[in-house]
Amino acid sequence: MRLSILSLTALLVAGTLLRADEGMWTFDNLPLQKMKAKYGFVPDQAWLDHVRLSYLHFGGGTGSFISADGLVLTNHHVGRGHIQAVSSPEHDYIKNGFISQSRDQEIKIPGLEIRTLMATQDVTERVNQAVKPGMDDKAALEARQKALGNIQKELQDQTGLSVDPITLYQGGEYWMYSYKKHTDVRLVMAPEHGIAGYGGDSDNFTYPRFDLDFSLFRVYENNQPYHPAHFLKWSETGVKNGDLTLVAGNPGSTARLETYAQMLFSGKSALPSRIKALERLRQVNLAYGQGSPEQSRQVGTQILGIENSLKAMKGYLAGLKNPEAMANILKAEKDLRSKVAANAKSQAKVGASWAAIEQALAVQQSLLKEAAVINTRNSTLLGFGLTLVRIADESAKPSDQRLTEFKDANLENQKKRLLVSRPFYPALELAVFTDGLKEAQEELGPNHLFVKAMLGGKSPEAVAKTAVEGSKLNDPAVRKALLEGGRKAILESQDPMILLARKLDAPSRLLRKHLEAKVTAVLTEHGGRIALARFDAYGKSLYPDATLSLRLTYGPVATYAANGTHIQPFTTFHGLFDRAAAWGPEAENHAWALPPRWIANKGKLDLTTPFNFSHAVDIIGGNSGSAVVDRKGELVGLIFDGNIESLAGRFYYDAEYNRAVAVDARAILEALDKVYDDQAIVKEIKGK
Amino acid sequence: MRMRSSLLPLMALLLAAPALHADEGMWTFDNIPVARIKAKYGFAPDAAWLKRLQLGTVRFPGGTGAFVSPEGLVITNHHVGRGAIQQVSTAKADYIKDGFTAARRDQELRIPGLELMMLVASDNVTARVNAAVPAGSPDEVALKARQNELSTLKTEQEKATGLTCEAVTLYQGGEYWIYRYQKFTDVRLVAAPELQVASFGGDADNYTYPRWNLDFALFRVYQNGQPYRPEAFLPFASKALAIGDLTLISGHPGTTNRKETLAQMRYAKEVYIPFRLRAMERQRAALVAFAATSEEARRISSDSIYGIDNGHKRFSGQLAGLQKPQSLQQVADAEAVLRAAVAKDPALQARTGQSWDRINQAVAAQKALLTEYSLTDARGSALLGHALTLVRLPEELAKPSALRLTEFTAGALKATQSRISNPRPIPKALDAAKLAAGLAEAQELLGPAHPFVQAMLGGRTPEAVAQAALDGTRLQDPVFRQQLMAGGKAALDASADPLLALARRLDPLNRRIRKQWEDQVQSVLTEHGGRIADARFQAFGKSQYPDATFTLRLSYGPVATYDTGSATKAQPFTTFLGLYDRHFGWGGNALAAEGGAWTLPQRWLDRKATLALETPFNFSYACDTVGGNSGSPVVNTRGEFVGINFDSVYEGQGGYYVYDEATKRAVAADARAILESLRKVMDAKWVADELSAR
Repeated sequence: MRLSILSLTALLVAGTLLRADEGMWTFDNLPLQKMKAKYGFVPDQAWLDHVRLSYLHFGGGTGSFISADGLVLTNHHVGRGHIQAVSSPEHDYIKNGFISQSRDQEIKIPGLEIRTLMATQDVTERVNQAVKPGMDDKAALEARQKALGNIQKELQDQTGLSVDPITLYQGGEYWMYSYKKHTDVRLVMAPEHGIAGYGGDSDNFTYPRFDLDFSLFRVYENNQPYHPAHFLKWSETGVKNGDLTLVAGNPGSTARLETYAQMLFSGKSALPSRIKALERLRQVNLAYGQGSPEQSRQVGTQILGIENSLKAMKGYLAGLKNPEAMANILKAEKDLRSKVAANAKSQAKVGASWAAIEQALAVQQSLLKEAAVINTRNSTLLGFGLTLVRIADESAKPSDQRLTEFKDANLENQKKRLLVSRPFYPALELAVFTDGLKEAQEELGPNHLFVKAMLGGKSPEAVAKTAVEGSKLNDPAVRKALLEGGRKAILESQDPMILLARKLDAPSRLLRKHLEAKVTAVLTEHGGRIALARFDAYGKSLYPDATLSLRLTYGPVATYAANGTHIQPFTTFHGLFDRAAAWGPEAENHAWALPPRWIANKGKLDLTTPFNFSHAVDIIGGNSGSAVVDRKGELVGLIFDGNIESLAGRFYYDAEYNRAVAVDARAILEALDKVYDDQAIVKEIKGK
Repeated sequence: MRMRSSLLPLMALLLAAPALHADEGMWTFDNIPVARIKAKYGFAPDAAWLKRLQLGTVRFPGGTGAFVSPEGLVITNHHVGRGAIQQVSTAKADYIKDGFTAARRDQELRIPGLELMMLVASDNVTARVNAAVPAGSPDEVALKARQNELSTLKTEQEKATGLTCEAVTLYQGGEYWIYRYQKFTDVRLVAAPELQVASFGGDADNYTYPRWNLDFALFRVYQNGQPYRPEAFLPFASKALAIGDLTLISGHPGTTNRKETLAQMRYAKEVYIPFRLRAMERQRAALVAFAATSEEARRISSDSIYGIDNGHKRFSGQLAGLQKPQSLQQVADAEAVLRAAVAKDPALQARTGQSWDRINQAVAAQKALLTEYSLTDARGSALLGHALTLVRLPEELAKPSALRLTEFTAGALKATQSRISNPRPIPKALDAAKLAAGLAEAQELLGPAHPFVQAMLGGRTPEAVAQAALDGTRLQDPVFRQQLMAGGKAALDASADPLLALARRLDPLNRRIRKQWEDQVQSVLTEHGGRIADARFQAFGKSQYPDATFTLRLSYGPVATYDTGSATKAQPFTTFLGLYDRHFGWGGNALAAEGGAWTLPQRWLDRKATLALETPFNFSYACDTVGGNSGSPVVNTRGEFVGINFDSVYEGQGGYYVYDEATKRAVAADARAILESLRKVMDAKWVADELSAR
């Protein structure tokens, strides 16, 4: 609960004015004037190139090179799935942490690929030219998708890089982002989860905080440490309250440029429906974890991820319930609409777009339940099955007629992913798949075509048991054989997951086609038109919504008003031990228990060392693992979270309360030195 | 539940009785819910246990304290004792800033004028008070009759016992009591930490948690020049307090409004609290401007500004509590249950059926009169307040007690007279600033043509009037006030003191509005509040506790976490580690933040290494408290002192009106932090030894 006494002054600035240091800026459109005016700092091209080439796209998050020998820093929670993948009941690196004793003991992570953004290209014109006058929204969407697929493929062939098409400004701009891929990534060091995620779900999205949320990987090429052209130097001074910080990274998704109706839809339908489904999934995973300590270990990452999403979505929802903020959004929309209406040409092109979007939302609303459950129902094996079934079908078509993920530009990735070997737990699979089928039955009713197709008159338990126990798809060799055997092998296969996947395929395609035609196409077309109208009205002074691609944001280390007081900008090791002593090790399922190493080595630590800090940069999920740099481009921290108030940032930015939370670089060094005694890494990081 | 003649309505009422939430309640010592406590915690305090706690607790002006050693050591909050500490401080020896520790007993500092009260006994006089009201009296006559009867009872008992007696109205008039106190008048300062540590985090952290306030001060009571040996004291606990442990707290919660009607609560939410908040904001701005004029101005005004900030945050919290949609719903539901119960019983209906409507009318009058009633007074000037009392004294004393203004009735007269002669210094410059601001407020809100404004300003500016009055007055001298009081009407008439002149103009205007208020508001609220309370008695018996009345109460509840406004759970304890985290958490420039609110005094940095940093510092616990509970001892089931209450969290301030078990948390300084600090930082090992002696 935010306190009304302190929030009165917030949110008074309305409309399209950017507030304070708002913005997740693309590197081609940085607000250099604003930065200069406020901080007397303008990053030049060399600074920007250095930062861009030092940062990495790391799964759903961000990382960065921090040494000449390819050392990569990201969050523990970004690397967690990978750490879990190389853990076992005997070697639980999640629980105990991992310290590689030498480079040859670094552990290769199967299937992990991380990427450096090498180049970006604006292809808006070419994409829009593909749309011919008179095309309806659906035809326009297809034409654009086709054009994007073609350009992507061309570029990939030309450069050998991995290319992503990126839609900015809801369709106002189209870009190609070209990445260099690193496919040999090894685990170097990870602290215990108990300190990386200190405070557990209770403390998640809060501040003051005490999380040592980092992990270290190393990129190899040809079995040798990779020497990146650029890496971030570790700051020797660190930051203090008020200092400017800059953060590059890959914020995943925001919805700030959506229409008011879209936001209302999120608040009334989309988010509550997601939350309900996640609560259910959480229960299933929790129940499974209670089976045994080993089962608990197996689902640790999933539960954490689910709880994280739940808290985030509830925060988004809370943001949408802020009446002042929503009034501002509505006012901004009215302002734009009146500008559009004032110009006959604009009005002709964009005037009806808001209504068109509302119609699309009505369709989305009517298909909400189907869209939520017509899928692989939490089953990893059914996921493999569906991909195999579809690759067989789709490969037979020309690239531009395929589902997006199977177009030439993406096909190889899909195939590769099928062949990666990751740990598989049949009992867990059975539990989540059973519940997934039950959920479908409950949500859609027993007579729904999808439910009938999947269950065939049997119970969810029976169907899941037969499929999970009978399937061999957990074996990469079996998947490889099916992949190579093509359509014939799929049609002949009696693997129960393949059989189920074939039943799922048709209703899933049907739904997808319908949603693309009636929803995605409309949102893309009219979202794009509104974006162009916004350009006309306000120029390119705006930044696009987040798209899990590289952005830069900036702002000072800063306090904020919360919990009735002013929040300290830094926490220290003192505070970590304060929480531990105050709660004791048992409270809230050990959320504030310290790992044994931390208790044993407490006496060696300089307790005044800064631990985490809060700063006013504009971030969202996907920025996890983003290095925080100072003006010199030196590393001073590592983003790992935002405060609870930052979650409203999915829909609007609130300069007064929105804060990112970072691990202070000094805490990482102090811990590596005094707690983990990892002197080789300390030396490598210091570059000395 | 009181037995009633017919079983059916009883059953209906039983089913409908509004449930108390969790550990709700500020219980009088004659009506402790022992069965409830026992059912939940397996602990039933017996009469001896309760008596010891009662006699171990003392009342400070505006707060609470407790005897904590056999030789009369009394602990209270620093913020309760702050005025006293300031009183014995000088610009050179600033014990507020630097803290104070007496090196030996004979260096303890006597606080002139400080009086502590210990509740010795209490008598229920309801029947006699009610019997004093002639049948069929209009409300204002009934009110006066009760006041007179209480005054008589008080005087009688004082004469009979030699103790200080006070009339106490419980359950909005459902019960009347006489409380008898032993008074202690020789109170000396023993030890106090630096203000900076006592209220670490300043106003920013006030009403919040997690917290690191060493908010205690130690005094000693003397009698006949010797340390007083109290009949009961609360020894420092030998057993470590932990989360979930039951705690009990005795103290003097000042005011709550939980038994008010829905209409009264709406009035508080929509009119009264917003009005008070605006007034405080205005007064604060004036005092901040004054404080900026010189270092000395800053020093003498800091206590007042602190008080305003404190009040502002409290009112804001109350408002936030009332604004929670479930709050007034809960009140409306309870009221509906009670009114239904009343409607079913012809006798109750006849007596109480109209009471809610009458209160609605009184609330309407309250709304209409609020501004005038609030502004037609001494305008925040302590000296003008004294002047008004002096002017009224001869006039009032000439009347029979029953016809006097309340504070001059026989029972109250002594306290009023002793306030006049209290030697506590009143800085003139500060008083002038307050008066000027108060007059400006009246001018703006009442308009320049209002009789009060005309009378007070006479065409001049508020600043000019205040300056002239304070420049010319001698009332800051307690001896002079004493002389005027002794000299009676002749002395007053002879005096040309400008504040007395101002007071003479204020007097009739204040009397008039006060009479209006009493007739239209107070008497109705008292009479009908009393009838509703009585109906509640009839319906639910004494399963309910009365609203707070700045008299001794007991609350109980466990050491407990809660969901903070920051989306996590508050840690039940804080430790010295966190204190240093806050200091260093401003990145080495704590001084730059909020006027250095989180900066530790140098000796706390120097002596850090000697401290056991894991020692618990503050804790949060689910006892039902409000302002007035400051300085209340927190005890465990053995009756041992485990901490001193000093605050409650912002989220729970709605508890003035509606109790909410999810957010009602009190905050205490842990006894272990007090001992550790006395020993390691405050050079007060001898005091710590006395406190922990077995």
